[in-house]
Amino acid sequence: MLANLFWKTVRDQRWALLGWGIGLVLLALYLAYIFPFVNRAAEMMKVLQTLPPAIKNLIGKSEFMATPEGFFNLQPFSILLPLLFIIFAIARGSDATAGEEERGTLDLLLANPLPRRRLVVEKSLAHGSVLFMFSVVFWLAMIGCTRLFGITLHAGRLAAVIFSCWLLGMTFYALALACGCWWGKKKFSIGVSGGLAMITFLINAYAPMVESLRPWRVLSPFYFYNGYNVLGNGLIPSHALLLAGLAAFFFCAAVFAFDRRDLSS
Amino acid sequence: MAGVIRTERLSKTYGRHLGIADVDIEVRAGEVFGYLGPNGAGKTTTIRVLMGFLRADSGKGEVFGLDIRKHSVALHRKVGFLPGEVHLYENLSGRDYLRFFANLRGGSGWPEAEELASRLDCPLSRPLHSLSLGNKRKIGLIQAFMHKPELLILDEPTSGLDPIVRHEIFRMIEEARARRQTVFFSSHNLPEVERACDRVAIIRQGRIVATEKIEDLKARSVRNLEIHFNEDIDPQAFVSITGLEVLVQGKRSLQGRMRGEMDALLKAAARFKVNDFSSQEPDLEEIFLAYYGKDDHAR
Repeated sequence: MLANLFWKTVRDQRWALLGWGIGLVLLALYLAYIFPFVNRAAEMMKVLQTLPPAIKNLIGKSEFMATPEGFFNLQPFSILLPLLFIIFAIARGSDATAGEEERGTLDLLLANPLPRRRLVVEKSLAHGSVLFMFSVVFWLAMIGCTRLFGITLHAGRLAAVIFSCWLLGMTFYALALACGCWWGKKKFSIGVSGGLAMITFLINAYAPMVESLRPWRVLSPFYFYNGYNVLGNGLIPSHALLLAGLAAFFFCAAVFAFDRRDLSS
Repeated sequence: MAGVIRTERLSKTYGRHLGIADVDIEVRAGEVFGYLGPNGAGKTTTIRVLMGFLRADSGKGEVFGLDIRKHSVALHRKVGFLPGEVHLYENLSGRDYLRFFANLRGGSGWPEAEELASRLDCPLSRPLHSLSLGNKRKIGLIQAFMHKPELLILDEPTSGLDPIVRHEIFRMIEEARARRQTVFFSSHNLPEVERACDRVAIIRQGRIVATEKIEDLKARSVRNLEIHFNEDIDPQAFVSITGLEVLVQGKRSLQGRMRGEMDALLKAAARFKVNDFSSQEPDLEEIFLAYYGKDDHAR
């Protein structure tokens, strides 16, 4: 596991992989367990209909609550899963170079015949792979748990929405990485990327109700992640490509900056 | 002999603060070259520029004929590096850390790492976070030496280590010299540099003030002296000693400063019953003042 920087970075995440993996399986089990209750809760549906449109839109469209696609689109794909993926992504992206720089471990690492850009590439591939493993674990858990409780869910569209969430996570990973590579400050990188994640989430969440926000919705990665309910309608390739392009842009900015910057000791 | 390290008017500033200015160094193949200066003089900045961690504002630098800015990766293949402060991956054991670093160099240096660890009495199986600072520094030294690089760049290699390990490090440097490896090491300790090096560059306030052979430096070396006697002494016995500057002359004591070899002084003192003799290196600032004057940046 220490053959190169890629495997060392994956190895560093092994406990995270175990902990998050167990957490994601339990989350899938919990959601599959509660769905039949929510489905049967006619009273709850009535209550939901009485909520103000703003609240309904923020938490998801209540009329879909009775279907598996509607319910699971609301939870976990509207807030919980993107939030979890973004937390992991920003934590790792900001730490990839800036964390090492602040801890002082970067000098010895880069004293090896390891180009700076390869360091960024190998770490990003490793973190991206770990996030992808979370995605696969969650997909398998959702398939298994929904079948356990007799819920029919389209496996392909489930994979699509989780993949879209992975792309969203990688976009914020690359943003945090780029901030870390430009400025070498981990907390600054977390602040900028976390702040942007919150702002763009709120823009996307309120844009359907607030006329003045609507044109800005296209600036939010959350809109391209699941703006049209991927679980119900399938992945929109152009949206996925746009997220991938955004991640690639931030990644290139990170490599460009890190290749040229003075490293602090 | 070919120059292994060659810099020409290398300069680096940090905002308004000067790091180094117009640094010219030439280190020849197979020599042990000392880089002497007080803390904050610019030693680490020079080393970090040479390693490609910092970009020089102006000037040129080459290592093995490779431009330090354009070919830092090719250069790192030939260099073993020890930073001034060693920070390791605390979650790994010493063995895992060194194996990882050996793998980054294509697997070279593993048997040597174990041999060096036993020589320096460095535990490899314990997690690095549980090691003392001295043992962490030993891990840093091992990773620098283990792949037998053509050039060793060591920033204050003996700092924080006990005398036995320091002695072992000087032996390792001596062995590296015997293998025709080139060693560039920084220090703020004159006796260390005198002990290990062939030549030395002295840096002060970011500028090289002198580059000298160690023999020349030793010939001019100044030591503070204090001798106490068990009988009254004849002051005339010490008047004609070349290089001795008597600062305080007592009936049974003498305080002063000695430049160059001590032989004549010791022979003169031995004519009387000596109770105590102490000789101390002056600190670097005193040396600079004695050698080069207060504001000598010109050399």
